[in-house]
Amino acid sequence: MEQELREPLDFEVDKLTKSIENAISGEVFETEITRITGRQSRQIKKADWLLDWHLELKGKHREVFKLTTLENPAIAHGLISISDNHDHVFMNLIESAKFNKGEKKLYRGVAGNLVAFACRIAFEKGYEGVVAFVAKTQLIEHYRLTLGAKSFAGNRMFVDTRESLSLVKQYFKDFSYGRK
Amino acid sequence: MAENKKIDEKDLVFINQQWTDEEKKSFSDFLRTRKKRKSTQKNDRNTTPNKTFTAGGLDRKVS
Repeated sequence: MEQELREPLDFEVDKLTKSIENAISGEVFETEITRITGRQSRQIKKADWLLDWHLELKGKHREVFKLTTLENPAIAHGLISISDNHDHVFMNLIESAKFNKGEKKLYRGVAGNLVAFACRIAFEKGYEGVVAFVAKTQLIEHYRLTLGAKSFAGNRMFVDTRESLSLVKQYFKDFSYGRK
Repeated sequence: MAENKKIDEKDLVFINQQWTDEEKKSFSDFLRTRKKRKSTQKNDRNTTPNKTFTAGGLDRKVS
């Protein structure tokens, strides 16, 4: 099994079902993560996002995914842009929808879901779950504590195999890696 | 869901910035070296160690 996962795979993720939690009621909603291509860019209204996702969709070697609930696939709760760096997955951007930001956020778990998704991809591509990113200096400690991320050089950080597996298992209960 | 809350305490924002080519290379070297080391350690574990017997082991003399 481990050997299979280490083989580079050429695949397209269509759906992955997980959940987010309503910040007020605690109600849990099943979610799915789907890829958005340049042709589907109209799904993302610029006004709803802080970052320029349209530019991201045009980026070479960048894949953008949206997190939605199963009940309402038209509303994106969060977006992530990742790149395949051939020995690890790189997280270019991640953003929760406006209504999922700050103290009055409607749903919890959006960012965690998306990071776990990147980690899962890193396992499935055979990169032992290694996911790298650039962190804001003031958030380095936060990522260390919440994601278990390690500093490679300054604000260049990465989520290593063990921590990555822990994140994936937290969000994708069906995931298995290594010996069964 | 406790962990979800922890991650969400602050909104995760990554800087839209790539690692430099030098950093990427350095990171790749680090991953490669580590993989090699892990593989060597794995092989070491698979090697049959020299047999050593202690008292009570196979070469215990029975009087």
